[in-house]
Amino acid sequence: MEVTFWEFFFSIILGIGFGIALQKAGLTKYGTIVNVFRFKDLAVIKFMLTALITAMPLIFLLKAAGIISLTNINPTYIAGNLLGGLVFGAGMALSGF
Amino acid sequence: MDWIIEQMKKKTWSPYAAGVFLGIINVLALVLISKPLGASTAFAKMTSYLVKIGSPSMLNAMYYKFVMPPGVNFTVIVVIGILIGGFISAKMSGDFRLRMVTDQQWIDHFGSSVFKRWTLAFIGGAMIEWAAQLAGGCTSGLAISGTMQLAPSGLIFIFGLFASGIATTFLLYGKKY
Repeated sequence: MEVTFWEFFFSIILGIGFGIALQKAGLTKYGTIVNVFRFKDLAVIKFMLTALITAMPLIFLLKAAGIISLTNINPTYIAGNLLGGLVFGAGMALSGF
Repeated sequence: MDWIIEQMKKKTWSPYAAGVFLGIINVLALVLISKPLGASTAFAKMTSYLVKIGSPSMLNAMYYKFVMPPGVNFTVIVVIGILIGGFISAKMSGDFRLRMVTDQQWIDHFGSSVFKRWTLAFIGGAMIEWAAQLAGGCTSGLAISGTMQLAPSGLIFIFGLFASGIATTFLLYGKKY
């Protein structure tokens, strides 16, 4: 167990909220995931972009106020990110996960 | 409280509302536990744990020593939370059911063979986890958590995801695209 008590407590609660958000947005269905690639049901894009639009200003406001610091940014290495993205997209289209 | 229960009983929310909810959750993650939310690391950690149980001598490899040592980290707890949250949400709106083959859309297009669905789901899932470990995260850990911190890796990942997703769906659906 590499988690502290508070990490465990908050992680469970945030995870539960995440699960609720995903299920209510309908992203747990095969049809919802595949249909965004057919441009028939753009729920995935609406969901992801709205999350980004809400999160980005809040994060940079909190960062300017000194409350959080961004220490865990995912490293950028074009070959890995791009190839990973390509295979990931194929897997999503195939299985609907 | 009643309002919360009433919202939870709905079958779907507007994706915009759910998106705002998720954005707030991601920000709270950075504030409360100083780490971004992700999902793919959980499965890799659990696989390392299986290696530890099954053939511990393999743990001397560089990967298991430095990149993915076995253990339970916060992402595993988040994934457990996602499972619980999804279950609660589906139960409260009456949508929860165990079934062998997914949606009607799959059945319309690929037939209702359980073997076919499970095989393709397995292959798709394996591709997803491999690609997530290669890119450094899945949709939540890299595409959302990465891009919200303005990491270029998130945007490159999203680009690749949609490019190949559209191409693959076009190939799979053929004329019915």
